[in-house]
Amino acid sequence: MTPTLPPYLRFRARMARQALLRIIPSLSSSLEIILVGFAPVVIGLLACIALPGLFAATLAWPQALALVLAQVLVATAPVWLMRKHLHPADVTLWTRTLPISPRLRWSADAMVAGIIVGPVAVAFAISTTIWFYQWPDWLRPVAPTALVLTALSLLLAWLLSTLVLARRSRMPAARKPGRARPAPTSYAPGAARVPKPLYQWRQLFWLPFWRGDDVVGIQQTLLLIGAALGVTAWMWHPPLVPPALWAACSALALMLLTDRGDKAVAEQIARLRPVAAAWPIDAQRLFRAAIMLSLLPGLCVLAWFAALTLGRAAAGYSTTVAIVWLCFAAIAQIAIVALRGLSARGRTALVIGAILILTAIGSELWN
Amino acid sequence: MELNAMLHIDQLNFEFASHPLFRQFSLRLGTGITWLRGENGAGKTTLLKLAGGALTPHGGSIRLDGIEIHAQPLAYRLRCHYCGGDTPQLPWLTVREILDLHLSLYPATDAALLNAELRALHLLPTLDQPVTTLSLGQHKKMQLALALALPVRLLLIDEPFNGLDVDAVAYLRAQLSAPERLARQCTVLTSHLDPMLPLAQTVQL
Repeated sequence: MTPTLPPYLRFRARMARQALLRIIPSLSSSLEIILVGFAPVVIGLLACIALPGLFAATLAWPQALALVLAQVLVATAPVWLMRKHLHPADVTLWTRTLPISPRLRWSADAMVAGIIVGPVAVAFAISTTIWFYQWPDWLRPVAPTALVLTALSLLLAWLLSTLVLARRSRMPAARKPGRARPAPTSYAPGAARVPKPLYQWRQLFWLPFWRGDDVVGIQQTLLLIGAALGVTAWMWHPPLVPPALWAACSALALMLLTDRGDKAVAEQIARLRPVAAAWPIDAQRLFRAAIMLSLLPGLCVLAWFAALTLGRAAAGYSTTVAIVWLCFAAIAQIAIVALRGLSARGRTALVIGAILILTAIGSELWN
Repeated sequence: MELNAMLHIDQLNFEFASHPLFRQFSLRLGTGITWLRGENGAGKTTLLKLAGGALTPHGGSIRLDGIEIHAQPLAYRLRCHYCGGDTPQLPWLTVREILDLHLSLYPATDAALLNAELRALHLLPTLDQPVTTLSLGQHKKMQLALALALPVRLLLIDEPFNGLDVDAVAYLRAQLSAPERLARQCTVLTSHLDPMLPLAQTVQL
């Protein structure tokens, strides 16, 4: 007789499988393009993924600890990124009321963490095998310690992933909410302070990205800062890092900024369309304005690049290249929001193609 | 009824992928309250949504005060309001923000009247709460307070008594059956139970 999993564990395993099934199609549509465009980078990353853990064995303990911890965080990242799919808010709310023992909950979280960390561990095993096959001089005297550190980092990643899932599903502590201000006793409309179209855009396309579980606002802010810092570092061109690398980082952050922003706006439009159909407003006009405004963060980055390159006397860089880069970047931004009929694969090709071309143009800026 | 008809639905066609719902359906409604009856799945909510502009018919025409829904969609929608749905449609907003948004959509709304409706339904303390924290009954009250205050000619209310406490049901009945409202507004409501209101018409689907 084969032992069967308890129903709750089976349920959690199926939920993890569903989460993976939801993510795999979006990855598979762009996988071949990523492999064609960045095959050497992907193979290089796969080969090097275990390097920090192995190399930590040759370092003094503070540096070794930092490297191992960084490796733990990398291996935990997939579970952290997928936590809302592995523990959907509505399912979490519902299961809290079920008679499930803490031990069973922990077992389920450990099992689901294992399902996700398992493939990551396989990638680490392949990378470790490559390094042991290469057998570099620095690895030979510390090989057993390096292996132990790699295994330990994976175990810690599994443990941390389990904790991430357990934290997501835990019952919040009962706290008496402090009242910051007295409850309102009358209603007066407060919408007239700003022009009506701007007000409606704010309520329907700005607030939803900053409230609840939505992370689009934070994501876009980080991408905007990343793109601006990338451009700044590119123009500062510190001696140790080749300027082409900063060009690649700037292009990547800029294109992702517009692509992710446009995707979020498109999803919000799909969410609002049935509701706005009954409202006495020209919803299409509002949606078009929201699409146009999704270009604004990317345009801010382009303006910053223009200020740093064209707004001062050229000192060692090519103004012509800067103008070409700006023009192509602007066209690529507009193409992302204008070509809405593209398939997922076509859109990925557009974004990756634009990143590659911008990187190629940008690599000539300081030559 | 034909002479005073406010809402004209002619030759309406609408179907879901799984089954047809309305074929050559016609209806005339005047001022006063119309009770829309029918078993689950008969198309009561769909008809309200079609009349409110939230769904597009596959054929036929819908006119309110002579305004055709496709010819002048904004003018049509400004004259009607669909009040329904048990889950918040804009879950990221607070109660106050939802009310403000609707006042910006219907600029002729009397804010003092809305304030009075909110007070009568004991909703003022919830104004700054996220709409997702309201109970089912409070959410229904918020929808109804808004619906009662909007200056529309056609009011479409889906299951108005669902989740309401006894006082709120009594208040809603009093508001809907106020002579001034009966004279100026066409109210269409769905309910599985007798609404116990002065009905102008009952429509069985």
